[in-house]
Amino acid sequence: MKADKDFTKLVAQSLSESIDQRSMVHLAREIMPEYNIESYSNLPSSLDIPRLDVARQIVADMNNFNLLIPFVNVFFSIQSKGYKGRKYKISKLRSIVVKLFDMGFSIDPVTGQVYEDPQYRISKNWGVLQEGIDYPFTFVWYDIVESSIHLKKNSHRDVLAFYQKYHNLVRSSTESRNGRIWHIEGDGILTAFHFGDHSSTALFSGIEVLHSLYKYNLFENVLDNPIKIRIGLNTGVTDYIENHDMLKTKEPVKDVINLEKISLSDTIVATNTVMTSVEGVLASVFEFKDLNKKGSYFVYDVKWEN
Amino acid sequence: MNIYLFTNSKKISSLFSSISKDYELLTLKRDMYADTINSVSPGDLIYYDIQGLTSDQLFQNISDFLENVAINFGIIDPTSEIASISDLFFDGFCDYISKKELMHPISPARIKKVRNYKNFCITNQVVKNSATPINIKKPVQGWKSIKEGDEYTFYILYFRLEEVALLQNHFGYEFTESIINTVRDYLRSFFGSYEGKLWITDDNKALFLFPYKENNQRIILGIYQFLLNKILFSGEILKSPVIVNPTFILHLGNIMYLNEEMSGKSVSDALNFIFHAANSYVTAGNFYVSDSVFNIIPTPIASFFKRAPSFEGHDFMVMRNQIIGDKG
Repeated sequence: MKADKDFTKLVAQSLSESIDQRSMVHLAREIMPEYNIESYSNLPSSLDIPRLDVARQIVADMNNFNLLIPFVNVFFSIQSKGYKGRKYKISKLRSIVVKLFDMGFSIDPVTGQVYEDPQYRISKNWGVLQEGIDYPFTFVWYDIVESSIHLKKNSHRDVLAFYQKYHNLVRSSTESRNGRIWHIEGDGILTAFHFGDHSSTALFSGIEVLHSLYKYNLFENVLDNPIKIRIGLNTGVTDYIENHDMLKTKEPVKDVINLEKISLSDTIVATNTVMTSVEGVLASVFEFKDLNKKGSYFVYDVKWEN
Repeated sequence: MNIYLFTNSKKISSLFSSISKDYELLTLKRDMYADTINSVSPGDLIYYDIQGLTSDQLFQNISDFLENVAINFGIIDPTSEIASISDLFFDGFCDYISKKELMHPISPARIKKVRNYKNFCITNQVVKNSATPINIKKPVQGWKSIKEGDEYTFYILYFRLEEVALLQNHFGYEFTESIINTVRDYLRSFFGSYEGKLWITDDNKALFLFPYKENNQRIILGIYQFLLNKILFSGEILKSPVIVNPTFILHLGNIMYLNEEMSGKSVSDALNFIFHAANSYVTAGNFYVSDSVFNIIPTPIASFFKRAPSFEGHDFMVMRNQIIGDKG
């Protein structure tokens, strides 16, 4: 999305008051590696250009390429992480944040990153991830066990009604935790989490789906057999791609889908990469299991006393 | 729901094997019936093979079955002994498997039909062993019609957050206080949607009142749902490093209603009983229901409840706990 004039003006002012010209251009190259300020402007390269003009030009260029929010994310990171060994204090930070909220964005409390507020918009890239750039994600793969049996034994209408319920359930448990549905193929659903403590939020969403289907079997299921599900989770780094058909070629996604081959019905199976950063309640409910030659995983299922 | 099959026939046992994938099936010799019946939970389903019984034995068995009204019975009749099948159903049986039907395996679909037909109600007759029958004083319009100083019938829910000292030792007094307050506020709003009112608060303990309404299964359903999701509640809402451990007791009784500030001055047998049970009877971290509310246990979760020892003249059932983590 393109930002309005007030916002671009505010960011340009903040940029010019917070950081020198050379670093501004370097920041822009974090987003557009080939960025060359002269090619987009009439600013003469040989003259000493006022810092505000450079800032205005960079902000206008980023806005033209719909990259202003990712650029703001990089800009914000210089206050928390520093940039090239120096620390910066961002001027007008509060005003920018207020304006971002007005525009329908939120700030991730863990990373300080800007992303779209799901109350306003839900895009697969949270409005900010860029194609071809590597990001850490936690992926969740949902798969209904022996789904063809339900189709054989029940009316088409009943099965369809269940699938609608199932899709809505996965959607709400994912999007309420700022995850995104990335791919649906029949009974298989791939969701992705990126912001915040994404391993934990992904695990919680999986638990909610498992419990909800457990309750569905008890109270609502009109199909001939109970619904059984396998839920797998994997955390890994991969580049963001718009073409979601290509997703299955990415290692972390292949790994999460392959978990269905080793998972038992009605269990959540998480890889080591998911559990490394998880503590507290979640760490206590997942059991470490050595699945023979298939590797070691963390497993959760619903069990009751006799 | 458990399914008990009492038969001496290997052939009949094998016909039931296809349902063991979807249900907990226990196949027992017929002479095990008397020893087993007391451990069968309300909502369970019993199939009894009557082949070879004399007419006296048959009459006696059927009379015995009818006494256990909370359990669902089906008759297996391989030699067509039953003269009137319809009488069986009029008497409350939920299934009859005839000689012809025994030509094929018993399918999960049949069990599903049985469940739908009988709706597996735990009937009011189960309440018959309640020590003091309750003189129901129903507030006709719920809370709207309740006036201070008058006596009404309420579902009384006792709640206590357990292991508070442990929480204080590990995570500090302030953190534990914030957990207690958040749990209380959450339950106030959660049970509020079920017409429950937080009536008495005392540190980690609370008492909720729900105005009497026939067959109000929603209260037990709500507690079941809360307990099923206590991992999510502890981790996401409380941000607690450990899973909270609550005790619940649900009982039905008459109480003179006073406002929340005066609630401590209300005296009633039902209140005394629930406080006695909380202090002297329960094992911490469980959900108990007294015999006064057995009849509102929702059918689909009846098998989650098992019999518990009686206390001060009341029978109890306790909900099975979820086994979490490496405790399994």
